[in-house]
Amino acid sequence: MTILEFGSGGQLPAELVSSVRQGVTTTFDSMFGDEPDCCASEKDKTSFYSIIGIISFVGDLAWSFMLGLPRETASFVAKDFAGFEVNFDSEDMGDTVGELANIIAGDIVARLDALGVKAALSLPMVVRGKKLEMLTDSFASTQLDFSASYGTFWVTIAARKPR
Amino acid sequence: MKLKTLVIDDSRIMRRMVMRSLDETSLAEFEFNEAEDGRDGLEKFSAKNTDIVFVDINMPNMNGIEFVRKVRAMRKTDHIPLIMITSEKSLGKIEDALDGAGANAYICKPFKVDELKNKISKLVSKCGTANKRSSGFFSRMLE
Repeated sequence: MTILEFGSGGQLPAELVSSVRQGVTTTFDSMFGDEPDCCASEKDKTSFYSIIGIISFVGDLAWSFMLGLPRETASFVAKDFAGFEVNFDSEDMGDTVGELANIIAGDIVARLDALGVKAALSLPMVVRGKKLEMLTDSFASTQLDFSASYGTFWVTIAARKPR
Repeated sequence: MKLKTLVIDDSRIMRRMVMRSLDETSLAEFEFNEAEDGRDGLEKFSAKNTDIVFVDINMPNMNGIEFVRKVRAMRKTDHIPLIMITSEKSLGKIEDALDGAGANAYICKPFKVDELKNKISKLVSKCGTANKRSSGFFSRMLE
């Protein structure tokens, strides 16, 4: 039994979206010294050449979290995180974004756990490119945009709709 | 004498970050050995003398909790300090790692160098005086 309930229009559970938003802002603030502002997404981000870290969760709900960073933001946060310049096209960049997604996911899981929601996380997967689209026919999804001194980025949350 | 330190994480960036942070603590002169998952870590742990281990939880092949269980099951090495460094922050995971598997300390990512230093210092004072068998790491740190 979970407290997570989809909206009457099939919207994602508010507690899930809130936990993700807080997990992202807290982690970025803690790691990069500036809490990003968050707003509901207005623009389609698939036209950006970007790198995306993906984590899936199982437990009371089957859902995924995607962290999308455009080249400029990825380069800045990777340098700050790793302590040295990280080439956008390198394996190290994938490693860094995967680890960043993993750290955020750990924070989200702890927040959900405090609400009584069980969630176990997968290993991170990282993709790089343009026009990357998630096929979410059987999923409810939402995208959140973030903006901070180190650049913009976005997060997509997708959860399997109840039958 | 250098402290033989095994760092186990499937992320190369994270291993480098942990090693750099340990050097920055200035607590000791570290000699690093790296492993990319629990299985690799267990082989390297068994092949070489190790004074202390820093291990992630979520890894392919063998996760960090399984690694800690296996090391703790070896009688000759059950005194070696095992420190989890992980993004898993939920109470259940922390209990699994510390009480269930037998890790000595738990550090959540992201961490600061001072936090790492404090955890190791506390571990030294807590275990170093209590565990007389720990002739390696703890006694050297207490000198």
